[in-house]
Amino acid sequence: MAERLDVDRDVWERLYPMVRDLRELADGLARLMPELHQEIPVTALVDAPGVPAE
Amino acid sequence: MSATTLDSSVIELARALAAREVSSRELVSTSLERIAARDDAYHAFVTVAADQALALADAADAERASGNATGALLGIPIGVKDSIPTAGIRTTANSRLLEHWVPDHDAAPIARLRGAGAIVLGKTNLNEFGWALPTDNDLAPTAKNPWNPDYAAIGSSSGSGIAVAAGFVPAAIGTDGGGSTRLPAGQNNLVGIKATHGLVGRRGMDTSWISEISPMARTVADTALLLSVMADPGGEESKQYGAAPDYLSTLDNGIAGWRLGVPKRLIEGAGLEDEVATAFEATLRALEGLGAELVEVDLPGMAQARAANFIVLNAQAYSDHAVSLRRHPELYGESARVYHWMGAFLSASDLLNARAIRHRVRELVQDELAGVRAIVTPTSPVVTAEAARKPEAHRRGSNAVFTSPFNLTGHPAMSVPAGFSTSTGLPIGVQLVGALFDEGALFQIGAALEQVSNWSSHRIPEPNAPVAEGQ
Repeated sequence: MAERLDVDRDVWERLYPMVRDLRELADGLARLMPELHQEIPVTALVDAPGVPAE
Repeated sequence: MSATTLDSSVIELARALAAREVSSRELVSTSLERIAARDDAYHAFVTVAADQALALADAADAERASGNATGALLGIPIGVKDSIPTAGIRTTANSRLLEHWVPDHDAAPIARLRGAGAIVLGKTNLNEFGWALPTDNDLAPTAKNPWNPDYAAIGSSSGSGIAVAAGFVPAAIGTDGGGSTRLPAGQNNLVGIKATHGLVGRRGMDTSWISEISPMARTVADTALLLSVMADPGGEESKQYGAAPDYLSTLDNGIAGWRLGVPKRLIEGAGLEDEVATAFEATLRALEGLGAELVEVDLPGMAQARAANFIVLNAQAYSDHAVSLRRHPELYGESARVYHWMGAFLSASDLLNARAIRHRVRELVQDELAGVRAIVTPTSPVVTAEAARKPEAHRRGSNAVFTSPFNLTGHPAMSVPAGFSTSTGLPIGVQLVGALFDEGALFQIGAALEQVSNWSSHRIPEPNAPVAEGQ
């Protein structure tokens, strides 16, 4: 994947864990689409490493 | 000129300028002197446009002397976040990629501010492109909070917040894509508003559907005045709402009898630091004292909205930088390079999901606001930028828990001062969220709070003085 996107190796090593978290977030979001009418804990999806401040 | 004149509000300065008690040249000169003397400690500014500002100050003074002055902000210096294009002033976004870029145009709301006579004194600091962790290797060093420079200034409009708090300018402009104006406003004892999406134009900047160009100042009235100048009632998304907003005429009408919503479960689920909880409770009691009725509300979809907003931010960051990341990777800071790549791993389906959530949660929030005039939350669950950025605690991004959902939904949201952390000396903010295009209600609530709290009269400790306990 990194080569296909032309991501430098040193960047990829730092990027990979963050991308993994982002993909989990995006996939979790898709799963929770039907639950929009419910109030789930606001930290349920985003309290993962790799989320930048602000 | 009095040494404290620059600490006056924008409205007070406009009156003093009109009465010829002070000149614009004096205001701008004092700003420049203060920046030269103190900004090495804070790093509020990336670029100071001293010559241009002094020339514009002289022109403003000449216009006033001619008797033909009309601009509401004529001759008043402001700071503008360095990611917002400004004609004739270098705009770097604190990036080496744009280190020498001097735009030939203003972003639309900056043109409106300049049209009203405001003088852009300089460009304020941010973390690189507003999408990276700040480091001391950045083009401009990490911004420090003038309330206690042992702490980093929260961003991403960090320089705009500290430029006002430090008394360099009476007002500044930031951007807010997840809380980046409200969070620094909260952490600097300022008022900062992210308007309804579409009210403030983005022509000349970008086409983001979640970020807003946003004012911050020391008082509610100043912030209302700035937004009324920046607002574009003829804009594509706001023209249906008609006339230009007049927030100032209703500012002092009070809030007796207003129902205000408190999303208790949302707040409890976010895990507030004790000092934030104390300041928030005190604000709720103050609102009751002003005659408001507090009611508990549900806010479904906030977790999804927060996550969806993060998806959109990542997609936009990559979309904006896809070419430059490959052509000039060496011109990105280490953190910015990694963060800007993340969006490459999102799919069209992810972005469409985020858009669907935007529409649905926007309706849910609007339904909730049919029963209350505004919703009240803390601005941030934590006091310091350091707490928000601690990787090992998995807390990064947690400070946007209350702010970012309303970027996605497009609702207006404003941070107002709510007290201070006694352990750090740093200010704490409370957020008010209103119905679409009901910014006037937020200003009215903020003005009522301002009258009973008096937080806005507090100023930073003298440089090098110890932090006072129990401010």
